[in-house]
Amino acid sequence: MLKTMPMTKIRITGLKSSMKAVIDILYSLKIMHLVDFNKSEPGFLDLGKPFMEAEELSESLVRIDSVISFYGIKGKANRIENFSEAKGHFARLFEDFSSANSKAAGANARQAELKQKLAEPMGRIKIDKKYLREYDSIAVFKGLVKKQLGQALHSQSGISFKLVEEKAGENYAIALFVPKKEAEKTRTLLLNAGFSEQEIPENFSEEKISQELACTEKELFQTKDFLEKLGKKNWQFLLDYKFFLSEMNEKAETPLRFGVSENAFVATGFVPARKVKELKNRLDKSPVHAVYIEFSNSLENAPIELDNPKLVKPFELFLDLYTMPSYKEIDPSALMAITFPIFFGFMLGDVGYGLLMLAIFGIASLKASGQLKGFSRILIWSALSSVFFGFVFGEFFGAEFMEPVLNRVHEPTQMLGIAVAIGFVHINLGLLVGFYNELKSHGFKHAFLTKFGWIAFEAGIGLLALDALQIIGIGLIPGAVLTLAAIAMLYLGEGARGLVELPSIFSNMLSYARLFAVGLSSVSIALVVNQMAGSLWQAGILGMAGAIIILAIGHLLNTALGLLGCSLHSLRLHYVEFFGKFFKGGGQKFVPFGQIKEN
Amino acid sequence: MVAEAIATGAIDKGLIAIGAAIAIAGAAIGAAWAEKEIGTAAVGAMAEKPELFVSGLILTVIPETIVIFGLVIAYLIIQIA
Repeated sequence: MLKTMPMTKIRITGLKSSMKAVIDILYSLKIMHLVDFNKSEPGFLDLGKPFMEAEELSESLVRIDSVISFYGIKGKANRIENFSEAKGHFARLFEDFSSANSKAAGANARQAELKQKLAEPMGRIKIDKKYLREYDSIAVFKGLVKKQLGQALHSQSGISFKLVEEKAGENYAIALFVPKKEAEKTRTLLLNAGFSEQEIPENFSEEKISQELACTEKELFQTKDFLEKLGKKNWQFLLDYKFFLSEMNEKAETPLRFGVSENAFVATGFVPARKVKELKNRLDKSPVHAVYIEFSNSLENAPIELDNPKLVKPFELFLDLYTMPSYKEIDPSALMAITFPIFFGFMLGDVGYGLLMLAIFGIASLKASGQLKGFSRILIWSALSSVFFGFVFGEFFGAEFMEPVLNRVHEPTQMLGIAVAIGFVHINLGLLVGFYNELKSHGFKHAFLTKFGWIAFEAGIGLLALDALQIIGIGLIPGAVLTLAAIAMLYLGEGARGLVELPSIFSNMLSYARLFAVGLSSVSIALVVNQMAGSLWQAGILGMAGAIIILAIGHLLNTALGLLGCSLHSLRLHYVEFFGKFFKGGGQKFVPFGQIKEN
Repeated sequence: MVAEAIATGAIDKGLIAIGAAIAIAGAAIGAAWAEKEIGTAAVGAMAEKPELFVSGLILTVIPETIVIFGLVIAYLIIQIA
């Protein structure tokens, strides 16, 4: 808690022949954070080359990824014991899969083609091809028209014609024979009917095409069925094998992170100090020879593993989202675990809303996993704090259900004062933490000037204010001297930037007024909802039903608003006002070699 | 009626309330404007680099304090009544 996990820098040197065994051991231990070898470092070492099998492994990975994404396989993988058997099984499986897949693709394309052919409108005209040739005295029109032609042609006196007309969707497919001398007149008539000329397909047989289509569809169905069964049968195997392959692949590519000479390798990394012994024991006991381990106290760029008790763990999420502290800095998760729920509860402060949130996130924390689970845990604490402050403010869904210790609607002056006082405490806590951080990284003088400069400035302005308000009668001189001394300290510690930021300390404290303001808006909305429902309640049974609906929707909406508003504002007070006083961050997260990547 | 309003001080109260409303409305408009500008830029940056979400959020909420100033001033004005 507060301090991040102590690390030890380790360098493992050994013969190339034992590299593979060392990688296996490190991978199974999962306690070492590897630092990639940097070619630009002076020395005789070169970048390692991946093992021979890496290429084949990554090829297999691409294949298995295509199968897995085809089936959308997800789940937990088990360990595979027999590699060569699994390899053979996958080779057969992949062959079946790809041949079935290409078969399905072919059938699909053919199906589309046949469907299009079948839908060809001109195919509906069944006239022997020999009648469709060029004539000396007869003009032939073939194509599509938008409306039925028979009527129109009949009403045109003097044209004798022969018409074959078939309905095709919204259009009509026609073959029209007229005397050549009437051709022009007919053409105008046709154009009015939206004529477009089209050829009649040769050898068009609806029956044959339908038969072929049915055949293709059956084939497609069978192939799809086969693929589905193949997937179902090998679901777990694919998961297992994928997991196995990615592990193997990562191991095979690990030499890329090592430095190598002709016959030796060097691996550098960080191990949590309390696990160093475990690593040393394992390497000593293993049948790997000629491996030499060095320890170093240089902790530059050491990775960060946050080390917090179980209750605080969920709050590490806030640092995950922001940035890891650097190695020497204090890990503020534990502080946030206390203040975040307090701020949240102070803003929401309602027994009803608190219990509702407790129910929602209690269930969520049981069902959810990963980040959502952590977030639910945070909100459970926040909900409990809201219930507590609900009793202080005497509020239940906005209604006053008991004599409040503090009435936040009618005593805004006190509330504002308390909110800013909380800010005063929180910011000074931040300054003290900052003092510790600066002490560790820049020494006492700098830490004292920058952090106690601020505290002295607050005290100086405070004395001036108290004297001006005639609460104490010591005159303006002590306050003025202290203020000027504080300004000098800040100038020495932070330079001109410190002077520019002077007023910010008070605007930061004033910013905590939101603790009161957000809460007030939440109560006001609740009160409005209750009033609306209350006046409806008197208007008979329908009114009662309406009142219940208004209560349900209104309070749910207000809970959602409160959840969003209170958590964001509480978070903001930490990120901006609190962290600004001490937190620099920028640490790299500790990722032990061999840890399974979450995805 | 006007005379009555003047006599009871209702107009004074109304003017004070309007003054408070202007204080908070002005601050809110200012903060909203600032957040709009920052928010657009932050979303743009996030589209390129999603891990900038928290930095973007922090930058976006910084002007929020302006509303709090407005609230405090409005509160001080109301105290006059």
